[in-house]
Amino acid sequence: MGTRKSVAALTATEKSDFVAAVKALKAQTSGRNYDWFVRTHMTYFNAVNSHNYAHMSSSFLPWHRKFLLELENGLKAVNPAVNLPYWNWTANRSTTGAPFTSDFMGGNGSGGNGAVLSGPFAGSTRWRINVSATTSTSLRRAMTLRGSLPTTSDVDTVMGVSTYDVSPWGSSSGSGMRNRLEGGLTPNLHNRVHVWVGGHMAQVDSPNDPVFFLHHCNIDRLWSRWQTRWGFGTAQYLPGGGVANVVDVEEVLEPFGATVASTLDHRAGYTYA
Amino acid sequence: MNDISRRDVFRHGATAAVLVATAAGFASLASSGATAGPGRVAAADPRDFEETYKGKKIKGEHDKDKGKHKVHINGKKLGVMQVELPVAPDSTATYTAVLSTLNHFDPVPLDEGNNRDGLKKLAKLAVDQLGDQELTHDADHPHP
Repeated sequence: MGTRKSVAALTATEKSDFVAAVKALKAQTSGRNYDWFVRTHMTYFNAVNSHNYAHMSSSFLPWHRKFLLELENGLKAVNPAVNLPYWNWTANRSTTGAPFTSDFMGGNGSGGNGAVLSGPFAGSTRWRINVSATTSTSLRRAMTLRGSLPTTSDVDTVMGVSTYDVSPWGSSSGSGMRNRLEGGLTPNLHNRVHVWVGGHMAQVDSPNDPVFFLHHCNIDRLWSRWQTRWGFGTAQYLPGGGVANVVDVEEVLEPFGATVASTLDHRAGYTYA
Repeated sequence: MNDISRRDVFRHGATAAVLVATAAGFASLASSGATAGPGRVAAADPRDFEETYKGKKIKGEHDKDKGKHKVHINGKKLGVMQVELPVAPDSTATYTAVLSTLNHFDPVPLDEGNNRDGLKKLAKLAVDQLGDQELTHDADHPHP
């Protein structure tokens, strides 16, 4: 069982091991390599088989939980000691502190809206962007130009909502925890962080920035925290069944071939420190 | 919705209600045969645009009926998605917004009132995001 730690608590070795594993996955030429995750995220941002699996839907959280697990398993195949770390943006809010240090994710884009200049992912020779909506082959960031980072109070507000999701189970759901966390509804914990980092993180190909996985690991941690308070059982996921074109609790999350129900209790596989 | 105040959101909702009535009026006009007919091309939406912004040519065409709006930047297609979002917590009222493959988590309100330039704002945001880059074929990612 793995333990996922805050980026601020990683040792120098843990940081270098994580970066090396991510780069090894990027260099892999077949199978579920790093660019497979970029392409899959782009594909599943849309409806597939008339289902919105990944975004603007009830399955936003379980789909990304499986997505992270697939990546983490890929990293562990390189180095079994590697676990996904999380970026707690309520505590680590600087553009120069963790995780944006030169020994980990690197810093902001050039001129505040260009290619990342520092760290192991700076420049196309170190980290080449192969699949993207834009022509840049170097990772780009535009931190703080738009968006904002959620506060502890914002997180507490979302954690206090007992209902997982409500009809119509999409972007227009007017209540429930999921849409508040995803961002269709205030306080919006997920979307605004993508916007705050900017550059590739603001785009459909956002997994091109490895920070994507640290951000989503934190989103998964918050869902786990919500589950700790309200329950890990199938009754705590909605919809329970019989809703067309929405991923019900016993339906399969594509392309992973696992049901929502199988993702709910993660504690036998990993925990959060 | 980080750039939209609650007051704005309620205003969007009110505008949307007016627009429903206006749209019904347009539908009635079309069904009367005033603009429809074999070989006739649908009239351009008055919100459509074609101009240069920060050195890039932006073109936008609205699809009021199906929400399948089109944006091109320097002749390359930008994927655009129309979404409905709640006007406020615990409300069933919604407003319409648009996203693009470049501004994927930052919806821009779109209607025919105060937010009639929503699609143009989205195109300009995409140009700002692009900087010295151009769109690739993956920017035309299909949306529902």
